Amino acid sequence: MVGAKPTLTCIIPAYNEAASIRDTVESVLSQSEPPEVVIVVDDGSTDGTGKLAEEAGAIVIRPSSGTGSKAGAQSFALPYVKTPFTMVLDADSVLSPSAVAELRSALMEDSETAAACSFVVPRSRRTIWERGRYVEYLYAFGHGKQIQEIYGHPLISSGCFSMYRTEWLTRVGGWSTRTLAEDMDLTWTLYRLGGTIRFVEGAICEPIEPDTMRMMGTQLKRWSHGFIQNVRVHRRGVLQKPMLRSIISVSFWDGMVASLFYLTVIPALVVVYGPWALIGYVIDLPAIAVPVLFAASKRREFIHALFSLPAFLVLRQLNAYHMLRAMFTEFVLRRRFDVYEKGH
Amino acid sequence: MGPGVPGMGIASIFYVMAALISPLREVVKSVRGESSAQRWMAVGRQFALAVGIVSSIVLLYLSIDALVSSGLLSPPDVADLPGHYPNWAYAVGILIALLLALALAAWVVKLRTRWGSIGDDAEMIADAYRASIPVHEDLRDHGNGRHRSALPQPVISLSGPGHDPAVINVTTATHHLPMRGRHLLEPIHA
Repeated sequence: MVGAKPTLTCIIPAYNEAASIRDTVESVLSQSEPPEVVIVVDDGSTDGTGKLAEEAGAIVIRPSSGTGSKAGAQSFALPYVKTPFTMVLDADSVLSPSAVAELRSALMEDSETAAACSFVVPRSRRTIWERGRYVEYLYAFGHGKQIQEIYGHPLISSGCFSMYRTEWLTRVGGWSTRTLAEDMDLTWTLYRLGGTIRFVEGAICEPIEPDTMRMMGTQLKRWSHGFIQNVRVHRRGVLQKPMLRSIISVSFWDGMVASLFYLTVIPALVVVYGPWALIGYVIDLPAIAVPVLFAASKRREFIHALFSLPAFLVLRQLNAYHMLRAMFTEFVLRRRFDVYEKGH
Repeated sequence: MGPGVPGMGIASIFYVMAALISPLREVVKSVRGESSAQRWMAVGRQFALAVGIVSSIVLLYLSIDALVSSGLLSPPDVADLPGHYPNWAYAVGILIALLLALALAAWVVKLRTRWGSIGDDAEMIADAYRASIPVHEDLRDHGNGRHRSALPQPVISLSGPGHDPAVINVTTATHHLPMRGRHLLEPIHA
């Protein structure tokens, strides 16, 4: 039972999510403390997503024309939210049974907490891309994000599942489309306005991740451009937040240098010094493996994670390609990429 | 390294260093009464992981060194490569230089803000953000939903028994919706 806890509205933006929307809505409604209202924004789907969502128990809102982006769909629903707390959830994600309760508790602990986010792990891990993402998430959420939480500055309140105090959302008006990473933009804006963000390890969100190179590429293109666009928008504003500016800067630096290294320096060294230089692609694997295998063993997935490590090395090259390309396009060509393409 | 952002050094070293000094920070927080057993557990876990990461790297280098010394591996002559220090020393040096440069930039911006040449107050931040939020045509005449009393009724699909699957008005729809929280949606129609 919710008891005296603040009431909560769940917004689920959806565009052609017939394959997953039922699971998502049912996952929300079967929570130990379900939201009081579940709104699915059927953003112009042509596959019956709205009907399936309604059958599963959600209120379905359909704009008269498509909003064109996840940020647009979520912002469309925000004016209809009347509860003190609002959560957003991707239409291809399911939650652990107590995820909503855990985020709601975290948000209640401190009135300055503007948002809370969860641990994320891919639901399916069959293809090389899903396995690579699985390792990437175990590393990021099992190590980096936990340190960010210890220091009070989780880098992003993830768009796939986050909970907000509605007053903060209405203060800023919703989700911006000035960058392609609306969750990052909102998080950094909330920090600049004096809010705090919490990362709750025990709450788990399991989205469907891209399972092909093309889909993964579409998503990485959006993420890479979104990251760079956010650095440009907030570069001056985050300077007065020491931990946040450090996290952003080392990520940006590492993203740039690592991409150059993987795609140009190592191949050049191979040409000059022979195959020995290929060790550069795997030299940091032990350092990656320690937190990944630790996080996996807590989930009783040690062997699965161990055999997924090579997939991570492959995914990293794709990450590097899209990051380098985004940096070149945005900084050198000064060409802003702002086409929102769905890539899960 | 985060999801979608490749990495191979600086960020990892940053997080390892942050984890290694976090117990000291937590001691200070404990003295101030801002810590908890739960926080100490998280700090302890990340500290142990950081030690594990450093150990794994040391072990890797020792293994490679042993293999080369025993003659099982024969790497190319890289004596002409620049540098007399181990790779990690360069990475730590770059990290420290980067963090110092950031601190300097922050100081300069703070001074300029104090002198009034630039500004970054809360209202400006919120206004700039708000200006980039899309206003859907359904909400355009209603202040993008900020004036709740004047909100348009959302179009809702309802496909239950006895209803046309075509879209219908929310005022009607909410009477039939199975959601126990539908009353929270109704009062918006003023």
